[in-house]
Amino acid sequence: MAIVTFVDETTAGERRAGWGLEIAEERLTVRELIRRRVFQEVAEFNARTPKVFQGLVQPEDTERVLNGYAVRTPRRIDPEAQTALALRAFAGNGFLVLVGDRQITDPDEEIELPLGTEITFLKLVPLVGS
Amino acid sequence: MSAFRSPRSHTDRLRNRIEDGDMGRVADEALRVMDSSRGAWGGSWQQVLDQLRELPAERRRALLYALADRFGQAGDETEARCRHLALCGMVSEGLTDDPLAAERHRALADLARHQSFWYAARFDVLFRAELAAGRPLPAPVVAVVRRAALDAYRAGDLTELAGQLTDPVLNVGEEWAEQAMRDAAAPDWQALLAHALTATASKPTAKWDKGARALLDTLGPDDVRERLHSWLALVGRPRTLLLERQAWQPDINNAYDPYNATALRGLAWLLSLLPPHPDTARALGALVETSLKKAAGLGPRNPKVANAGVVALARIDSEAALAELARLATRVTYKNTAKLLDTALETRATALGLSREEIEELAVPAYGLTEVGRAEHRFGEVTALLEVQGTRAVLGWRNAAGKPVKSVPAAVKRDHAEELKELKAGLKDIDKMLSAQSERLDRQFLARRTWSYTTWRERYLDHPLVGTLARRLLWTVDGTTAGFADGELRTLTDDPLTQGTRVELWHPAGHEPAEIVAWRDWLERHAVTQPFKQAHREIYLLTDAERTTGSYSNRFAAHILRQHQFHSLAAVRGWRNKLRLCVDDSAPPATRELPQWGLRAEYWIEGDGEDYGVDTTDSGSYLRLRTDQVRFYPIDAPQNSAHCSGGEYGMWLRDGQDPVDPLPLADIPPLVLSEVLRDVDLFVGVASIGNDPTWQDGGPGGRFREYWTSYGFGELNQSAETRRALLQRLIPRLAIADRCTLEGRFLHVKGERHTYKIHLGSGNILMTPNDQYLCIVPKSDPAAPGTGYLPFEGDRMLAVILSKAMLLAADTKITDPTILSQL
Repeated sequence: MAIVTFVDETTAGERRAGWGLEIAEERLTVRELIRRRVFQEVAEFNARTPKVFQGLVQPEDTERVLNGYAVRTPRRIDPEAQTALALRAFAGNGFLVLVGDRQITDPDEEIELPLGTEITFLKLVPLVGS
Repeated sequence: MSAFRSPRSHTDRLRNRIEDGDMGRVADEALRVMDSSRGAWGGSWQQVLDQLRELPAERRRALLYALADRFGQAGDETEARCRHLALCGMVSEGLTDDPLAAERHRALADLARHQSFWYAARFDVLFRAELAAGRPLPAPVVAVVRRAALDAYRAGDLTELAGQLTDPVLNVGEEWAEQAMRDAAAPDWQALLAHALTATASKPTAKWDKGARALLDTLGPDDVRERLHSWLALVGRPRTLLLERQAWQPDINNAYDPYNATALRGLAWLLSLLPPHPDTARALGALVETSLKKAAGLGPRNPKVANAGVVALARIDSEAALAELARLATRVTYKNTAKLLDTALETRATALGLSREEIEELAVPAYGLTEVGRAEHRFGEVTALLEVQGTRAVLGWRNAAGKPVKSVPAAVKRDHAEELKELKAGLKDIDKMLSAQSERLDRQFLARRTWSYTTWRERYLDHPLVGTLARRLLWTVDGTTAGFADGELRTLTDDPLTQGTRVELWHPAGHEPAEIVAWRDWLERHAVTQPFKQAHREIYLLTDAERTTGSYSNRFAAHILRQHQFHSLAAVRGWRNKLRLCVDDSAPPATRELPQWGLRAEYWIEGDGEDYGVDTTDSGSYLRLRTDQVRFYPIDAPQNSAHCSGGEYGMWLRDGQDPVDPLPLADIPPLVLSEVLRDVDLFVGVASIGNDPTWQDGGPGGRFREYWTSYGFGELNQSAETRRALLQRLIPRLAIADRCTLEGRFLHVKGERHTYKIHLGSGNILMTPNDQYLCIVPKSDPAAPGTGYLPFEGDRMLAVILSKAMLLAADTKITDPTILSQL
């Protein structure tokens, strides 16, 4: 049993307060890590169904507001759908995942999770040519 | 349309036609007169018209029918049709014939969709004809008469007519007024609305108050409060009857009905005569903010009503009202209203023998918080837990067994609905006040405030609301810097600091870089998120170039800024600026007054271009400004000004004053210099056209191409330097680390096809071998699942640069055709 800390880092060099997640395994793929993170934050959202979802990626049918994504009609968010969105965003460089001090790009790479591992999520922006 | 003629020549021609006796030709000539006079029958035109009105009744009847036959010539423009009808009305005075009654009725219904009409057009003839025919005017028509009469200070007929129209008591077309009229069917309530309409002065007179008090006594203060609050909540909603906006008009459908605005002023005053109530302060505060929202071509929607809200708040003797005034003082940037707020707070301060700053500090309520950022409320068995997290207040619940529950327990909804509503309103108050206080603290850097230790603990560190911010900032106690962690004020070495005498807000200017970095680490170690940049605040030091130029700084000169964005940003940061119009006028520079330092900072700007509609908005304000020097003067130096379109700034010297020289920059206290230049850097960084990647073609006529290029690839400003430092820390951790190097102003990224240079200031990209520009922009509406980058999440430009680096490092995988075509 290890506690892994998830940290959301912003590009201003600020770090959001980290939050812990218990992981029973010693090795996991990044895909699975993202899935667990999303399941955790969706579960917390569904428990309280506030008006604003503050999570990793934008759920379907929500709009961006100052501190998250406003859910138009009060409802529960489907963690499976949300995980699929997050993985697609990860594949398209929507955010970076750093484990310790190393960026992981392959979702199927297995990583060691010793006690106190810090996993950083860093958000980016989508680009188009013009 | 015929050639326009003078009244004189028309008089002669008309006389000839009348002598000929052919009334058809008289009618034709009369219509030509109307074209020439544009339907305004003042001055000499009146005499032309009198020629027709003095004809015997029989001949006028023939003329009337001739004009009626020609009604088709008026076309379908409402005003033209009304003009034709008004002419018929004026020549047929005393006749019972009314051949165009139905057309008139229709034309007036159309006129009711206008904001107003010109009083000289004599349309009052039409309204009187309707009334004479025994048809009361529909409410929308009454509304347009009243609106037009407000500007008709020279037309007695129209104002007199408007005065006779007492039903409905308010103008229809606005949601709040219609609701008010539904609620106020009883005669006493009607009297209340009628009294509100007499609020024509800028402040209530004793006589007005007396009348109002009598009505309040009759109706009962609680009922009045409740209804007035529900009406005011509807102010500013979209109109229920849309008006037709003429080409030259501002956005009238977003403006207030000017007739009803007077009633709103009266209602605001009425509220201030009731016993104080927290809801009243809220309602008036909201009214002030709603009324100052901007509408296109108009500016603030209705300063008159906003000012009435401030006047009312100033008259209420309650903590809630004072708090609302203090909150508005941090939010309102419209000068006229800001001045009123200032006066109101000054007056209150003088009455209590305090300084203006102190009254603002004391005005912050605790909102029922019992300790810093926390409160518990009991609802029977259930406990509500109120906590401030960051800049927001959140509510949690615990049931009778003390276990956390996720939503509002049913018992509370059932038995304590009223208290629950109040609690939730309080939550909103806290949110608003937190952001206002955060802005106020951000402005304290230049306020030169020092506090005695005990006062400061009470008003800042241990204040239930302000404490949540103050405990996340750094302070200087008797020269020692300290922050709050683990329930104590602590120094850099975490030693508790329990007493002191003098406290100041800490600012990094004048501290050693090592010390600043140490404090940044300290904050990170204690997981403190600051409410605004303090430890990470950019510092602007005097440069060698500025020592050489001596009395001015060219650091932010020769930029092209979007004027309207600059203007609103400047106001928010406490600068005074005048929007520059493409007209023959002059304006002072953007100015920040620093009374505590006896200084005035100026940023010299001028409008750019002269092509109406290309370089300006429809209303003639410049779209863009060119910037020049930053200077400092003694605060009482005569005002500088320059022509809006550019040219030399000069001092306006009165009564033999001597010109005052700008102060040497080296004599400006480093803190002041740093903060002022930080503001200016912010203006340029946000409002420059250089950060708009689509301006690669240089905008209108390619005029800005050179500027755009130099901005996009030039020297780094302070915030770009900060960005560079962050990248240095971040890049080694990335998968693409071996493809990236930081060199000077650029992040170099090695792709397969090219090597790319991404500029750290603008995020612009150049490609090897020939430094060709590569245009890639953030997607504005990602259909793909994005993580959605939000403006408060740090530095968007850094995220853009990183995203571009990731994309270009794998340039063989790019599929976007608009990018591929450029590679």
